[in-house]
Amino acid sequence: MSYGKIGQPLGRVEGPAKVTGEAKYTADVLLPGMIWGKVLRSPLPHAKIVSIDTREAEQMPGILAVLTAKDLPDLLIGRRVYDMPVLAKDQVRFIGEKVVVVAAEDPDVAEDALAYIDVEYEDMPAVFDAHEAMKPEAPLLHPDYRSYAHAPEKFFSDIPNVHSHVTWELGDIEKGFALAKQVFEHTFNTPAVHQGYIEPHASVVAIDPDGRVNVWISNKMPVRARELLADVVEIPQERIVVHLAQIGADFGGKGSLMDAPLCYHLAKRTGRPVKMVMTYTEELMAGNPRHPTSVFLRTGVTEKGQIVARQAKVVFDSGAYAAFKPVPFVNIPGAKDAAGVYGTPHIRIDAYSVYTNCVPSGHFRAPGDLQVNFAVESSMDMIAEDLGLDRLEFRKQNLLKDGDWVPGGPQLEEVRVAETLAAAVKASSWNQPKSQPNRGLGLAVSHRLIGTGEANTQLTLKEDGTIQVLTPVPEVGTGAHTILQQIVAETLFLPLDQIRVETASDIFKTDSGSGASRVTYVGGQVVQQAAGELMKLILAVGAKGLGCAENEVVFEGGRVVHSDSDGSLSLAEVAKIGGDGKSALRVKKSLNLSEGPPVTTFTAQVVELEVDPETGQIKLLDVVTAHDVGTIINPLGHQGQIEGGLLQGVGFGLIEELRMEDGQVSTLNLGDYKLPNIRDIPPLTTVLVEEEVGPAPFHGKAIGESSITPTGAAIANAVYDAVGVRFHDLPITAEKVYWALRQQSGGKG
Amino acid sequence: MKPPKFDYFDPTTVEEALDLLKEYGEDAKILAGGQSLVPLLNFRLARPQVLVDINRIKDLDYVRENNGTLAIGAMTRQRTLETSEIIRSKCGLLTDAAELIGHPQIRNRGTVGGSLVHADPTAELAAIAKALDAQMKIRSSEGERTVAAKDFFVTVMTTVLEPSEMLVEVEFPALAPSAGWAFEEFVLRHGDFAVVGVTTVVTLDAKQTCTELRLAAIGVDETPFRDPEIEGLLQGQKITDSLLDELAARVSEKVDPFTDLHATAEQRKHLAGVLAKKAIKKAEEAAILNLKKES
Ligand SMILES: Cc1cc2nc3c(=O)[nH]c(=O)nc-3n(C[C@H](O)[C@H](O)[C@H](O)COP(=O)(O)OP(=O)(O)OC[C@H]3O[C@@H](n4cnc5c(N)ncnc54)[C@H](O)[C@@H]3O)c2cc1C
Repeated sequence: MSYGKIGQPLGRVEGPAKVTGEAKYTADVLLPGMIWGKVLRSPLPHAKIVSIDTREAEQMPGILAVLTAKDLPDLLIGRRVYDMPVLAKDQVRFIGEKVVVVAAEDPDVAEDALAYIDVEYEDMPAVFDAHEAMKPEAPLLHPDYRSYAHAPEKFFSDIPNVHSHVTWELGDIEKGFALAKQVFEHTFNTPAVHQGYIEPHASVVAIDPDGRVNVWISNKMPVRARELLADVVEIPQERIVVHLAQIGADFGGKGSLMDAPLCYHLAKRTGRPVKMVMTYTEELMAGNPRHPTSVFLRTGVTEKGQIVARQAKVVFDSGAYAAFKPVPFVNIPGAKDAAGVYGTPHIRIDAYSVYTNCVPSGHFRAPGDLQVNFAVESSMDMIAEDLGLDRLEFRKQNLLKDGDWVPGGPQLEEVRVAETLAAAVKASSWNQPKSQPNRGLGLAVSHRLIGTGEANTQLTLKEDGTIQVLTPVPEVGTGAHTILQQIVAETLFLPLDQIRVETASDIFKTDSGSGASRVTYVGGQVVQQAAGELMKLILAVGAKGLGCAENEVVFEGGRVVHSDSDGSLSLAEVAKIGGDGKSALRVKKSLNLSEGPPVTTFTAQVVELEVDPETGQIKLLDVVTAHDVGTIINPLGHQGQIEGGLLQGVGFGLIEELRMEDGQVSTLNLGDYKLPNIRDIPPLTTVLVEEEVGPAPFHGKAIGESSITPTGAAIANAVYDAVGVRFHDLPITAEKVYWALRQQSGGKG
Repeated sequence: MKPPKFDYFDPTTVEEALDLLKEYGEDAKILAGGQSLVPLLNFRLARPQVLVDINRIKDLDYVRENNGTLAIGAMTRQRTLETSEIIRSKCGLLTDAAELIGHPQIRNRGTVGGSLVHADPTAELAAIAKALDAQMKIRSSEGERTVAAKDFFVTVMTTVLEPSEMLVEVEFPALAPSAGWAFEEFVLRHGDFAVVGVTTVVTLDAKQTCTELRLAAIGVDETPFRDPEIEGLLQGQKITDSLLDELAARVSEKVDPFTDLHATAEQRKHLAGVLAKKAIKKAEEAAILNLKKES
């Protein structure tokens, strides 16, 4: 198919504002009389709060309010399960938990006052490892977790500290292992990693004299944020207006209220607008990083190398609270991919989400996918080697096919994993003889189902002839607004600059917001449908204006044209005539897709690297990433998603780790916490395996959470190929490689 | 985070700046490129009452050649090290090493003087100053003194500078046309401060015998490490792998590094030896090429 606006490489609609500094983020919001809030955080991982003495801080000049849990309603909060206090009440459960909040006109004054607050704690036994927390002798962090609002009863567990146990099954696992000639067991671990968005969490709350509560918040799900805030501060939703500022990236981490409830309480107490902006140190100690994860795999393989059974035990370290997990089962969806891209008749996957006295974990681009893929794809290489099979052939022999089921997903159609894998191999030096010592190649393959959920829009033909597209989905940096603009322009045959995408949250009641590779798919469809309906309205009103029947008009060159005469109307003229006597033509639409399509998307990556045996340093020489794609709506944005995700995958594989010792994060600034930067981008080849079969508008497919997933495993496999050392833990830092090589050579060197 | 409050002065002459330093003493800090000071302010690790911004003092930004030496004004941007032809021809080690300092944005602002005075234990320029016996020209409203690099660095982020003093110039010796040099680093990601780095200058005679070795290491002690005994190991010798192995072992043995988040002391010791070997090899190859060019 050929399109007008679809398929054009377009810069972002919000791009110019961002690069000129015009764009306003929540931290930029300045209101008359605005004051600042700062929090005192717990220095202990698990302790009883014996007493809090705030008298000295209250007396300090410039201090306008000091609040503790006693001053707030006795309510808990969360994206799904409500298990986290707004301020710690009787006990703290992690280092960095909020205990007291202070407000002052000057942020420095508020900050200084924190030092004068005296909290007396009594240590409680703490547990920092999810497996330890599951043992009978472990301290129980939330003995009453079953009583929390929205706790998922169906997924309760009797194992200590497990707040959600989800199982996915296909076939009969016992039968599967009975068919196997050989059974392999492997365990892999990955650490907490931070999303690394540039904008730290920020919130502003201003309460109008009439009680209307204005909220600015770095949150990608503003409609849901309003719902949650209403619950926790006990006011009706209708009184809350969420204003949408730009969001300085999200990567999955910006779905919570974070400090907004505190801003509300301080605003209520002081009668002033209140702003809170987290420092990056606070982000790193108390954000909501990717779950530290351990993955145990048990794989049954036949004599001929066919995988017949896969059992997986995935343990997610939830941290002190489950409050940052959005899905109803309060667990991590990525666990369901523990069979990888391989057609496996008998599968049982158990995912445990476990409380520990560590930083509460949350969502990060492809939540769970990376952790599980690292395990699955490393084990594929290990099994192949043990069976004396070629690792590529072993994979090929087991790939998913049309008609296969995936755990927790549909029966697949249009499976194009073999083509994707072949394309990646072809574009790499896989089939060339090994060039030099200490160089190696690794590959890994993944898939991702497109996200479901609810999307809303309102399209209006304005009197100046432009189309206003209102969406409750903020632009988090993915280019979603540009894509919505393209889809509407394509559907209405209008130039792009005649379509204005704007955010509005208060005209919509519910909405899933941005996430789960959902926006182009569900959000795209809803604007496409609304645009189609708006066109019908335009034609109807145009016909009325031209004094003819509806079937006598066509839309041509941006005008409603009467085909039999020369008569025509511009869109501005149509708008002025209006529908049903109203001043504007308007379509408001909602779409709720609860079932995903049977089509998934595959990614195959080949990494070539070199290990310096003397220092352990890994140099990526070449990375090939192949993607099974549908119609690409915006090639520029599409490639941006591929490259950005891949670089995060490189970070996950090689350097990123939120290091914790006894619950204390030690990488507390972006100098110590290593995010890869632009010069760490390896030479990269992208291969697009195109076919117009995707479920998104114009046959598009998801891309946002694809390229990040297999990189860690591909690196680990390449390191093994290069120097014969198998890593079961990420990241594979130079120091780890160095020590492993030393051990391998018997302690010398 | 934003910096805490401070008073701000922007003198246009050295004398004016020195008067301000005298007046405010310990309460004042010089602001040069701001690439180290501003993060310290933002993290509240420094809280000076007064900043004396010396960016408007034009006559501190220069590169001059004086018979056999290269004089670089304190406010010369690190980026100039990469672009200046005089520097490239007289002391190419500075040109090559500049690329290892952070990113272009940082080098466009960061200054030669700022890096030396800040005295980060992994600053490349500090290592080069120490290896080449650079001379630091220091002024106060009372007068001027010159301090050798080996006496300049006291400990982590501390030099012999008094609060009333300002570094105005650093003088590097020009390198012999036949010398070869290298700066080898181990970093955790591109553009980062080095975990460990080694710089070296190797001079060979016509028979390719080493007549002089200069070698300094960073990230292994509070100030750049240099050791005459180690440098003496290659004196009058043909550089062989076994000699280099011996030298690497000696370097690893002699350095006294620390353990931090980014590397253990043991790994740093090992890296110092490995990098010393790599650097000398590279420098030797360069020296051989230069010898050929000369003849
Ligand atoms: C992301 C990043 C990466 C970096 N990577 C590296 C790296 O790899 N290697 C490296 O060496 N550096 C690195 N730096 C630091 C950079 O080189 C700084 O520019 C340098 O350390 C300080 O120079 P400045 O001109 O910015 O000084 P400022 O930050 O302005 O000042 C630093 C200190 O020196 C004092 N000072 C400055 N000039 C004078 C003077 N003439 N007389 C007396 N006192 C003075 C100031 O009062 C202050 O105490 C990095 C910085 C950043 C932000």
